[in-house]
Amino acid sequence: MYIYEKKGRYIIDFQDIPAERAEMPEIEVEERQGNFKEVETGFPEEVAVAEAKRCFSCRRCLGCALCWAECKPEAINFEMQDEDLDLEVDEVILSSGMQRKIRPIAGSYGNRHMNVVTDLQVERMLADTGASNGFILRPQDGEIPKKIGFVQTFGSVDDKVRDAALILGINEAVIAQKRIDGVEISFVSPNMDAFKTSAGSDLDKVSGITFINGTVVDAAEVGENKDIELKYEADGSEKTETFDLLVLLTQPQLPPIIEGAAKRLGVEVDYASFLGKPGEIVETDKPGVVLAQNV
Amino acid sequence: MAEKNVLIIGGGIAGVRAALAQADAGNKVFMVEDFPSIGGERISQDRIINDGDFFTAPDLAAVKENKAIQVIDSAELRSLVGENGKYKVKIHRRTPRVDREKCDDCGECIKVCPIHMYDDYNEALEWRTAVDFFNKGSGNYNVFKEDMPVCQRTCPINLDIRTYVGYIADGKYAESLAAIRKKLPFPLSIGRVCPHPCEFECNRGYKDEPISICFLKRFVADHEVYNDIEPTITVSDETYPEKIAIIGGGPSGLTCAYHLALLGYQNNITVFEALPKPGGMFLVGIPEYRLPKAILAKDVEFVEKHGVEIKCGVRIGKDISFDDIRKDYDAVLVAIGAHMGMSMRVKNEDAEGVFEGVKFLRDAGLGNEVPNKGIAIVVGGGNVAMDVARTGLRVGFDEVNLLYRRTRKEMPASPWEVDAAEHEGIKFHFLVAPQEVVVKDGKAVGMQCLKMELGEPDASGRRRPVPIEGSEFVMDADTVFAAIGQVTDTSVVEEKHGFKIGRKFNFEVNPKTFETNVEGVFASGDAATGANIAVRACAGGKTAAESIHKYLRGKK
Repeated sequence: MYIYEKKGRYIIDFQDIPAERAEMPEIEVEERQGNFKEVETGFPEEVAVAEAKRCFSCRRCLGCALCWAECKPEAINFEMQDEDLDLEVDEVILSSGMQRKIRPIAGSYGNRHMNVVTDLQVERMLADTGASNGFILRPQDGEIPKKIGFVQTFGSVDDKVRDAALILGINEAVIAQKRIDGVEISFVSPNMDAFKTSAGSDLDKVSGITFINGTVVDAAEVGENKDIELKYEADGSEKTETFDLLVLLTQPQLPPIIEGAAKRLGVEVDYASFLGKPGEIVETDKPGVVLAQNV
Repeated sequence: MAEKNVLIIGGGIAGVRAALAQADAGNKVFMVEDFPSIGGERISQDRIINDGDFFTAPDLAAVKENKAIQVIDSAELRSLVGENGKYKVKIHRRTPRVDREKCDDCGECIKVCPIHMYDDYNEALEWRTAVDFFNKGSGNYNVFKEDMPVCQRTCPINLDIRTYVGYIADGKYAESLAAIRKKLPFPLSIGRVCPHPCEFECNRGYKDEPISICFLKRFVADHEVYNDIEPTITVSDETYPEKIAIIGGGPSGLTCAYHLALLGYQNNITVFEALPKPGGMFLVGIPEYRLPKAILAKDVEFVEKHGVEIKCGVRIGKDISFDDIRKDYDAVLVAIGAHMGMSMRVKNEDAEGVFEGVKFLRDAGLGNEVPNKGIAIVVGGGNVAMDVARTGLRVGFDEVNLLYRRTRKEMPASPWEVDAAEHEGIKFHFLVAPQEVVVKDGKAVGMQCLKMELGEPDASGRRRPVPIEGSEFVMDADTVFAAIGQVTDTSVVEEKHGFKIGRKFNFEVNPKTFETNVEGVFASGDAATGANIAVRACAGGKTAAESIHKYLRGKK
């Protein structure tokens, strides 16, 4: 059922390895009163061993050399070393890179709820070369969502950066509308009113999307299908709405390699410096250093 | 125009387009990208599109064919210097372990690779193998190998988590514990109290939920204690004559002592502890119900058995002067923690019945008399505030009210601590800021508070609390605890010693070696970093031990 099963790469759910993380047993609240007894009592042995078996033992390449043995052109070479290159150049072009920051809802573990994804994940789902051949699928059951919420969870950033994040989401929503009949889509952003003003008539291009000026409070899994119940504040009151799929809008930011380069060059840039003149090259106040604007 | 050399940093669409344009203009292009492959197709983020091509794809085939473009992926920029038309660049490129001249893109390697890791190119929606090419068309095959798994990299003391968890899965508990103790002498304590940053990064979290790393450490350490297994004491082959003084017998000081003993200074290490018992914040910061003193004592005993002498009840600057320590020892570590509560900066804070939260925890931890009658107010939203509130209920307060000026979501305390406190009956009052301690006959009888509302988010992304005018109200209390942060009490040294003290009242140190500006004196733990988590203090202690070793051996 998992979309991980596509394309012949499998993750097997072994029967003896639990999917859920082990819970720490605790003494009852009544038992804690007026004393300092230890609250958490520790894993029993069988729980600890089962929990330890859940570990993926991440080590990336183990050096097993199966690929090396299989490679007919003998291209794989474990002896290859890192290289240090010295270059001399006449001009440096900085671009914005591809990194974004995810701000999870209410401090939970990243995307702990299966049906909460990021805009970048949706982008990969929609791409032909992506994970699900252009379909938006719920990670939990592989179903096509009928009601999608896009939420901005990051705080105030430069207006241009905020607009870029929202526009990416809106474009994804428009594609979703074309690919899923009758899909319901809402956006929640604390800066929605400001965005509407800055987007102006460009927003007339879209229809059938609800835009809410509100702040996300919490998201919880509900029901057997693990739909996402979103709590947000809008118009001075707390509201609740359930979605099949919730999409976190990520905050565009410069990756360290570009920030580091800019700092070394003495050029002051942030993500917003790469927005505004799509596809063009923009000069900086430092000769020989230019910015390639986002496309 | 003469041919130019152009460096492009960032291999996204914009970078690729710029590269092709530069190559067309007759220039030689170097494109540097930190990811193992250059960019894939993207959805526009500068204009709303409602028809046509939603995706803009970089022309990777054209890049590959163009001999004027050299793509340097998996790259780190080591240096970039120069001016106006002349730049010197140093780039470090991590090896792909695949000769791309020879690779014919058959994909057989991917079929046989037994490793499954989440696919970072596809945003963890799929799994990939350790050998991959990321995006079609790039042909950039590489074998992905890391020096450390992500959990180990995240751990401040770089515990070999994969190994010790693996040993537990195999039932090899002694081996597991030995793997932990290679670096950390406090598995019983850290296994109980660590907020485990490693678990937030755990790759299993992408599939379902992260591994319960911290509690597994506790399990394997408990297993030794509960089964009365005598811990293995490693004795160093080396013996060095230099004497080392460690001021402060907490997580950082004792970890430093332990590592010095392993390095060969056993029986020449003296730890001076001001409190009557060793353990530092483990003893007097963490309440008994989270870390029993008898359990902590086992960890401390383990350190002592390595040839570490702990002198308790000795306060430097009072019982012995800092100068005497300098005279009698070849190197000194200052690891005195952060035991001084910060001020709430409200009126009447000095009234009777107002206490520092840390002092209350210290007294409760040492079994001293503590206030315990009537209603308590705790001000603060961090883990110390939770400890104070939960301890308050246990020592006998009828009611404990916790005030925090933002909402639950913004609380810096670990969410499970907040849940436990609420579960036990602590009353939370969010969006409330203390204004003034209400005093009657010189004694605190309540707190005048102001209601807040959340305004626009600040730079940290947290929404700033804004006072609601005219919303003042008084909350009754017999005792008020301030738990809004701790700083180091630097009075252990005097001005004449010339230590640089930082903005957080911490000892300023070289962040790599933990040396202070005074020769032969090192500082680590909260005293160097400001209040922080225990395992980071331990990590600092370990690094300080290595630095002290280097310093002492270098002197010879």
